[in-house]
Amino acid sequence: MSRQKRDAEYTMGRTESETERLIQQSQLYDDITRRFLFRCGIENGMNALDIGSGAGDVALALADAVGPEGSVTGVDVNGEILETARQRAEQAGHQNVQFIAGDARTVDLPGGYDALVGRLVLMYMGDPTEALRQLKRLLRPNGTAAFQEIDFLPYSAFLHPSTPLTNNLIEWARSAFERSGARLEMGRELYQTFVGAGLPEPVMHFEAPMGGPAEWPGYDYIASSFRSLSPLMDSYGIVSPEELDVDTLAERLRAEVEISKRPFVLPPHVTAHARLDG
Amino acid sequence: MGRRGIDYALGRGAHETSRLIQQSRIYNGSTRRMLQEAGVSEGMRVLEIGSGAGDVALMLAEMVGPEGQVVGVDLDAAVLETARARAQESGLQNVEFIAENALALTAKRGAFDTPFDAVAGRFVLMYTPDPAETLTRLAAHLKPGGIAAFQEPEYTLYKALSSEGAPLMRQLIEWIVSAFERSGARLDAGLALPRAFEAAGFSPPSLRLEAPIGAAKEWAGYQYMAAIFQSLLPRLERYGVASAREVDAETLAERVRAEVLSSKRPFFLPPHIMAHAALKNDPNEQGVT
Repeated sequence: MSRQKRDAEYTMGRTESETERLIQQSQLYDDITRRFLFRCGIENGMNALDIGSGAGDVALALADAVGPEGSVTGVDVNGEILETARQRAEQAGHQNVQFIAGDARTVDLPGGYDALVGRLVLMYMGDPTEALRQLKRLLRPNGTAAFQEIDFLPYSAFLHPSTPLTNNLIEWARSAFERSGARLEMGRELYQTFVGAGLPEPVMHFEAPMGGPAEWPGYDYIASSFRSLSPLMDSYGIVSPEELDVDTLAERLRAEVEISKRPFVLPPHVTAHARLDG
Repeated sequence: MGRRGIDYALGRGAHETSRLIQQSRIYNGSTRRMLQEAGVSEGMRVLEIGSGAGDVALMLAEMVGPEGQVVGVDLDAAVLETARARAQESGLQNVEFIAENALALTAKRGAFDTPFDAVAGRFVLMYTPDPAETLTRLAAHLKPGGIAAFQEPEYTLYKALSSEGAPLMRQLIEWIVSAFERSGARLDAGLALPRAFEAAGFSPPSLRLEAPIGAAKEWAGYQYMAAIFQSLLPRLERYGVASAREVDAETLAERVRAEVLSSKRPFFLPPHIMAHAALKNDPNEQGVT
């Protein structure tokens, strides 16, 4: 396949703490993903392909949805993180989940899948439309394509004078993703991506986890995200590790939310799904 | 107390009743999930404020079942006639509607004598001058540990959702936000929910932000957007925000659809925030901000 446009550098880096972050992420976003899979009609006995599995959370959600009669194949370019995914699948008692290291666009896969699923993965691809055009061939007739991607654009509305730390975090994250070449508006680009790839028009939904309570897991998740982003932010000159101070970040954010009484909104996601014609 | 200086920007009448019913087709999925997650269940007695055409009350009546009971309240007695007729059509016997100000529920007719298990509302606190005070007053009608569940729009976020290359969407959002702003409605009713919940003695609420979006050739959102403008138009003109000719409500759905299909950008309906929580157990903690 031709790949004229280069993929983004994986903005979050590839470290052990990044694996930990992915698992935390899923505690906050799995609810959206699981409801999404339900709306898509992913059901018992299906054979699903998960693109960009990472620590395996979407593959695990898929495994629950397709049950023991179905099967799940997870693909990720990072072979190392798939060890974690395999262990977690085993711990969850899933016998029908396998993970393959490679680029889903080029790795040899049997095809004929009932569903093609990905979360926060097209945003790192140089040409998501071309990628989807390739990936769509792996679907059987009437198969479903389902992607959940970030929409960072509306974050500008959350900037507020009473939340200087939140304002900084939003701007730092935006700069880092932009510099790395990731697509921060991938969520709202899903429509044109689907249609451009020759898929039917997708049904879409926009949603963001929010928090305010002191015990909300989002604070630690934000801190973990910035731990993963920190090296890149430092090398781009966006913010130094000293200024970022990830060790105290969760606590400072919690205090800011408590004092400002403005709830914290995690990056919104757009889900889109479409079923191929027969 | 009344709704000091807040005008119901969407007006009242047949157009608006029809818009409310369209609205519920788009937002009901989110509402139902919020109510389920809040713990509304069979046998409960639930107070619903700002019932309008009755959609949320009817949903609640189904959820609480024949053993449960729903009391729906709205300032507009005329729209409650529609709500009652719809309850009857649905064969629901466990719901009643009362024309009343939710801020001053009196014990008349006995409907508010017995404490409720839950209070709920959709797009209603935005029209009350002080959501914290409203919730505090409503909390007084709840049993200990009673539940509150509210779904409110967040207009401060709406402008940021418009995409580049979609000038009509940008314009429509600006008009909507201006109309609500001029009417005195709270633009940040969604983000204000956690503070209001805490002030009224509830635990910190579970929160979620959602927006219906669409970009298909066929999507109910285009027609719903036109319905919003049909309802808003008299205020848009009175406030000098936009004229009927500029809005051109008749062709609006088609123009929005055309822009979405040519710009390939999804259209966002107003985003909303959902919050639910139970009253804190310790009565001494109630009312403390």
